[in-house]
Amino acid sequence: MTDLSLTATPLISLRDLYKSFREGEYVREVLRGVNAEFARGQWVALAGRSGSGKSTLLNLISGIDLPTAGQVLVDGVDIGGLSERERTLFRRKNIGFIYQFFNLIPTLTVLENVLLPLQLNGHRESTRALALLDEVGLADRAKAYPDRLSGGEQQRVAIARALVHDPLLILADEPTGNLDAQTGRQIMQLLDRLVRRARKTLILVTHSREVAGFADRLLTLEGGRLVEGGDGAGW
Amino acid sequence: MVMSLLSRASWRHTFRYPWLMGLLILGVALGVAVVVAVDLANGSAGRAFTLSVESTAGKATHTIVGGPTGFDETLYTRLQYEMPIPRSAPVVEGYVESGGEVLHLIGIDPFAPPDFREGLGGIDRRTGERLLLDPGAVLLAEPTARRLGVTKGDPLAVEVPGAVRQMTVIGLVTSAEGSTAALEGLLIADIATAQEVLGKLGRLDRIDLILTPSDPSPEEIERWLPEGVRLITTDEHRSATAGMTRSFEINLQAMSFLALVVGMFLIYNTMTFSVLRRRTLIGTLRMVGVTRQEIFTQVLIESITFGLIGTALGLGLGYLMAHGLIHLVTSTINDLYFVLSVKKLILTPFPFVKGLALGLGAATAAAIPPALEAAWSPPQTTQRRSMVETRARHLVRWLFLGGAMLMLAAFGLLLLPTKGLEIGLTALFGLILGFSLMTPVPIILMARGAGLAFGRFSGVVGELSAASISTALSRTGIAIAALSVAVSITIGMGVMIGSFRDTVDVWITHTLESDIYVSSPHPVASRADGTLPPEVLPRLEQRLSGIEAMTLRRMVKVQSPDGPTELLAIRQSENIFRNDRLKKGNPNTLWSEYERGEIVLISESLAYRRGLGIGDGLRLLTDHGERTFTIGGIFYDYATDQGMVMMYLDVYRKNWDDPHLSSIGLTLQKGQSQAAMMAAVRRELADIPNLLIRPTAEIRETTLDVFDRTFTITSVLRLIAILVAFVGVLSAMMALELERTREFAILRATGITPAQLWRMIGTQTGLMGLIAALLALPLGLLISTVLIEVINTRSFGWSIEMLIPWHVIGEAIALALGAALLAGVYPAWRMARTSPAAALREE
Repeated sequence: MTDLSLTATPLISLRDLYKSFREGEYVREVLRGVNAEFARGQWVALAGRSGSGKSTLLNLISGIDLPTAGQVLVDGVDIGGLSERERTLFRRKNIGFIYQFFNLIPTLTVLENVLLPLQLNGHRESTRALALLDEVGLADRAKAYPDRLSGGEQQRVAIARALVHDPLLILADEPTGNLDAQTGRQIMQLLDRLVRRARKTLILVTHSREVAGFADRLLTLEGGRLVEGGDGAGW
Repeated sequence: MVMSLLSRASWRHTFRYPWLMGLLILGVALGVAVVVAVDLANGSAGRAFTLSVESTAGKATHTIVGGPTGFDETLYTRLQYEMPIPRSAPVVEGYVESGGEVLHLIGIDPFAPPDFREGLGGIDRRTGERLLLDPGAVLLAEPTARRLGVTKGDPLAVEVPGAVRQMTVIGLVTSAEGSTAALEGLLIADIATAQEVLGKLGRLDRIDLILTPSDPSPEEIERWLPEGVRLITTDEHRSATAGMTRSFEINLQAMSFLALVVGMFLIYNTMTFSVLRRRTLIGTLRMVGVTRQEIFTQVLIESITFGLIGTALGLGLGYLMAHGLIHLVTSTINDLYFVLSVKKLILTPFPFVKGLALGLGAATAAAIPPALEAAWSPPQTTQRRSMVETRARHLVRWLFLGGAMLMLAAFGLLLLPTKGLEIGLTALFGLILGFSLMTPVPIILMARGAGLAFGRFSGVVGELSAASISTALSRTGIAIAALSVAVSITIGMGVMIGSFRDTVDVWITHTLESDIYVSSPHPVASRADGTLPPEVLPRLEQRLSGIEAMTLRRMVKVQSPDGPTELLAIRQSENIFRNDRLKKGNPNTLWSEYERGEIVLISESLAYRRGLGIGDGLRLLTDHGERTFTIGGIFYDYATDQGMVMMYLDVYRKNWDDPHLSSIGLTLQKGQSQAAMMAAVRRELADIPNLLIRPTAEIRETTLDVFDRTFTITSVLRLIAILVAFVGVLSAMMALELERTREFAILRATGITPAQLWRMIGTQTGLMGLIAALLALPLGLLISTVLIEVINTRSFGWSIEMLIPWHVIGEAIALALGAALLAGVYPAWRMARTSPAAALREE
């Protein structure tokens, strides 16, 4: 078992996490005793081969899924001890998501997509959303629908959406995986600038050494366990 | 505000496919419209009947009634002298025809207390005197007069069996309450005029009484009344007539209910699609923190909104449809039960409230399962289609088991020894639901079989088309199940109507054992209880030769402790009797007992309604007091669902003082020409107007015409069910194909030509239509069996031989295939025109 405790007051603590999936008669164990702590404001890159359990770990941290065994503590809250509704409300307030395939709501405009987390949290003010759109360089596209935007532009909207409600934690699942190298780099620079300025914790799943280079810390999932550093996805 | 962006996202998604939205709304609207229209038409007919009774009976609490020919009018005079009842009114009534309309002629005492005709306006003292003194003076209902183009002072020729009488309209009757429905077809005369016109000289049909506590008690009056005359409450009197149409009304409601069931299945199907199509959206929303309740509420709000719009349209459409249905309902009531003139809808809030509740309820109930499914799926699962399909496959066996158990429970309900129609309908619904739950298993098997066949004969495109049915089971399964339910209901209704018609045809052919029939017309087409002028029989006996036998019939309504009962008194030859087809009892052994009056026969609906069997006693009120007749056999009869008792004519005449006949059947000697005999009969009876002289074939034709007319309304409802099914299937299949836009775009990008895509979509939708049609056949036959064996029996008590009209099966297959193929046209056209890149980008 690997112990990766680093700070005295971690934002996230993963304690002896196990996760398995039943596929017919066969049980596939993805996580086998993961232990880690992530500090506030820290950038963590999570690497590993395809199917190693990176996205599963993000799902457990966000409360979208529950571990088979073990504990996830975010800001001192035991995620597993919350009801489904409480987990959803926790996620709504404290977590911002960025996905490989952007996952913008196709029937909402760019501005409405960014406003959504704010409104879900009871804020009516749109100033912050407009300011963020300005920061990501899309103020002039506020009224456009996502399918009119390029991949890079969609991901910039997703970044604005992830930050707009000032969450504790940003989870990014291969945010550049669907973009060309240059656009990917621009996206990472934008993310780096905005997230660091806001002093947010970011856990980033990636297959790219270059993207991992933006992080304070690299962890690799190997054989269902987290390894400090490691060789990423075998790069 | 939280809901605002959420609902905006959701609504915009829905508005992307306005066609689907429109079809969903149309489906709800049609379902609701049918129910509202049937209720409005039924309600208007019922209300018109009540109003017309109230307008002529007023506040009467009791009624004195007699046998088939009423009772002697001196009873009224004696009653006034011997019983201290201050408020009583004699009535003579019957039907006459004028200008092609059947009029209800009521003979009243114009100077009876006004409480008895408080619904009628326009009868003042002067008018009363003229009614009494002017020969042939009548008052005609104002709306009817307007329709007939008759005004005050005009002559009015009325036809009665055997005669045409000239009357004079001395005034118009208006409604005291302003509702004209009560007055439709009403013709008022004084007692003597009515007696003369209707051939009831010296007889009264009833005496209405308003009894108060200070008057003699009903028991005292009963004791005072002579034998063969009874005192009944007015409610009893009204409900006996109104109750006649109850089965007919419930049956219509059952049919409209089936149309709603089709609508409900289709709403469910459409809502499920609308949720499945949005699973990525729902997954993303769940990940950013939208709760299950919020998703659930949103989906529900949407369906309720659609339900509301559809229902509102359905209420309006139902109102319009009711205008057409009221004529069909009225004509059926006139054909089968009693004369009723309803020219206008009588609006009451109930049908609209019921339509609103049903439409909204159906839309909500249909949306709850998909809403729950959407809300309760874990977000990461919601996003992945494969997970949806995996779960659907896991569900298949449970659905099959659940469906089988539901069907078993429904069969159990059907076996319950009850006459309750509601339980039958619940069981029918259970069977339909159970069957539809079981359909995924045969769908998978048939799609696999088709895949193997297509793979061999039409290559990869065909194989792909078949495979996509079982790989997208979560959607195809629901669409096929909904389609097969919709089609099966049309099969069920079609087979039931066809079987019924065939049974009636066989029965009428067997029943009409004479060659020529002489009868007097009756305003109620299915009834043969008119009265022949007395000179007809002696003329036929004396002046005609070449007659082998005459069958004499008298059809009347007599009183019994269980209410009015139809009685057919008949004198036929022993041979004809022995040839009768009885449901129970052997005609060969019954003749002598029957002829002596030791036994009577009853129809199967009477046996069913009153729970009677062979050997039981049937109590009837004769003109000489109450008598119990022993039941010797049960016969088939489809002329009336009220039930009928049959006895030998001489036995009838011994018990009732009624020398009249309703019809005479002539059996010709061998070698006699029917046409020549028809001409001879017509010649001999030429001076008697208004007689029906018809050969057997014409009566058979008329009977089947009446049947077709009475089933027009059922056929109309079946057509509406077909329309609802078509609309629903079109929307379901279109939704399914539109959902595959991305898949089609990928196929186009990989090199499938637009023509191949057309073929692929056509093959898939056609195959789905075919599978649905194949599944609909057993379910349709099951539904028709339940309609025939349970719903019909519990409504009417008739035995119906089941027969499968092949055109109904052909129509059903054409419906399924047609709707399915048509549904593929728009998506295929859209995909063939759109560039794959644009489609991939949009999706």
